[in-house]
Amino acid sequence: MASNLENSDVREIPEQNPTEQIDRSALDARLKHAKPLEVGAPDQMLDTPLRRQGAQPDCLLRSAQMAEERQTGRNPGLDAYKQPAIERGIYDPNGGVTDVNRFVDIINERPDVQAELTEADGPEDIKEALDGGQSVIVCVDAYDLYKGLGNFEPAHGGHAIVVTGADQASDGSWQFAINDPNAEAPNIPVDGSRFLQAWNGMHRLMITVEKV
Amino acid sequence: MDIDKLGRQIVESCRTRGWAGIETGISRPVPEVVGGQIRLWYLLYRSQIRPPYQMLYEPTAAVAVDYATGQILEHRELPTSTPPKVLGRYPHAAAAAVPSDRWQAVWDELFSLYPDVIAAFAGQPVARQREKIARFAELWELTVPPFMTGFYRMLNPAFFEWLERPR
Repeated sequence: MASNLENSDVREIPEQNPTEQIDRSALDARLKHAKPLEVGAPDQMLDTPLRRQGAQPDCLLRSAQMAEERQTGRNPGLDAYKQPAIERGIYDPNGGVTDVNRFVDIINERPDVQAELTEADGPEDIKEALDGGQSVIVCVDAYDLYKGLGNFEPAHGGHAIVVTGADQASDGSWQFAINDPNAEAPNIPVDGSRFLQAWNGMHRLMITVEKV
Repeated sequence: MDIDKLGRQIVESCRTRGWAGIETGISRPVPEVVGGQIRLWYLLYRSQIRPPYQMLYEPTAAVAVDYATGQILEHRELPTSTPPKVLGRYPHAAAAAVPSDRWQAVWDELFSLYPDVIAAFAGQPVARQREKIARFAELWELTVPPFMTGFYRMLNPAFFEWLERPR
């Protein structure tokens, strides 16, 4: 029996490996000229470190920490944001930051970074900021972002995440990559329609953070 | 009245008033009739989604809304631990047994039954009333995790006595 199988396997092996027939130089040239969206996921800020929030309602604090670290190369630590938020009465241990406007003031008091809060017009604003080297924090409806990935309750709590990549395909659809402080891994790919619904649910709130 | 949309508006309004943090979410409502006025009671609580699970924390407040206008009538803080404790993990066993591709339809149906159930609870005649109330009770049971049952009953025990009454 073993001998028969061996012979059968030998007969199925082609005389020449098919990959050797590919014109390697033509493939390389095509890849060099391909736009990023044609060859992979959006990737402007994939080197943003992931900082996880644990059980505390610290998604916005952790997102600010990630953005600052990406921009300056220095990890400010959670307390750089949590302590001032507590002192100003805009951190509720029941649900996290209660005033995003005043929280952006705290980011602006950090050394070497500048932050701006806007209600974006659309995903083009995220892409433009990322293309320009800014880190982008967005607020989303957590249920809308993850529905379909589990049998969740539509509680519509908000959630802050860092967008690490955004790009639009030739058919008009969007793809995003995110660092979610609740996730175990960075740069989770998110389908554009799901992301945009979740973001629209929080009025397309966007915080850009850049090095100054 | 779109009950899901109303809930989104109420939690947003609670955030604007400083009653809720960014991560605070909102429950499905429990109706109450006071002097002919229909109120909807909501729980405010935090949930944390880590697919495939969602951690639910102790409710921190209850909010009453005028069903006719959508205006907030009352806000009550609830006694909770600091920080609030995790009550349990969603989905509970019954909810987990529903195929994922049917789960959103379960919630859509529950929300769509609310207007007729609220009307019936307020004493207004509703077509196919018995059937709708029975289905609503079935979906309620399916979607509420056991560890949240007491919080919902607290909002208005009379609604649940009415819902569970033999018909």
